[in-house]
Amino acid sequence: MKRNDSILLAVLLLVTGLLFCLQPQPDQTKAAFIEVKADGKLYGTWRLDSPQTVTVTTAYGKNEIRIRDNAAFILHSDCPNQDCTRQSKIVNIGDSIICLPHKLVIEGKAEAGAAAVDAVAR
Amino acid sequence: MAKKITMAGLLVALAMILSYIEILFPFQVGIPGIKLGLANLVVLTALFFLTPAEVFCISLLRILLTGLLTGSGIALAFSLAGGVCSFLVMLACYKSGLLSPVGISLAGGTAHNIAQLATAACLLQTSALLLYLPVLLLAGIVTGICNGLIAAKILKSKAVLILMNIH
Repeated sequence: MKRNDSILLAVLLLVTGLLFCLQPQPDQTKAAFIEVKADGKLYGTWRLDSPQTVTVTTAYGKNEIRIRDNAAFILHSDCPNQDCTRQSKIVNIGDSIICLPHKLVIEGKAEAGAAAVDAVAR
Repeated sequence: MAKKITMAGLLVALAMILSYIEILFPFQVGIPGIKLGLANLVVLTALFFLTPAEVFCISLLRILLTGLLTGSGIALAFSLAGGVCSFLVMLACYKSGLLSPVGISLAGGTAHNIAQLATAACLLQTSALLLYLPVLLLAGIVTGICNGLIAAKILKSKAVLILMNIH
């Protein structure tokens, strides 16, 4: 390794360290709803306090979301890598589960209306 | 010319095999999207004895062929974004003459991961993915250094001298 390599490494480590520190603290407030977005568009919102299984069907495939004990997780997906079924449950506001092959984002929200307000503000 | 085409073909095949090995024996750390990027070894080493256009073709062919064989369209989009971005960054670092193979690989590895995350954030139109940025940066640093150290060894070996004689 040359001296310049070490400088580059130090700079990159510094930036990474700073980003880790600047990471927003996870919101510990319990989410009341989950918001499902497919392909960047709102697909629907569901209450976390009513246990059910939601099937989300998009052009890319199918995901089954299980809502139970005020938490949501993906029970089943017909994508090849199954990363989304292994992600941690949505309990708090801001928690998310992402299924890349199906362009699906599921996020914990305080209330169902919050999404609409966000969309207008943008 | 024929020699060069043969060499390029061999390198594309080698890069595809390295990609395939990574699919067969995934190096899992529990975070989706992190891998060693062994195919980048071929691109990195080739920078030292082929022209930029030739290296770019090798990288592009490797990505398209591996994508056709294994992945879906979306996986191909991620590979392309990462591959093109890391190639450009590594080429710039190589041309600057300031960095050794380890430094070039380090820059390429982090550029690759940033490009892939940016692609994912654009496709999904969500900023939730940005939480992954520090983790992916760290992963890019570690895998970049590993690949760089291997590339440095390859470049020092006598086998590379044979490759360099193709001009």
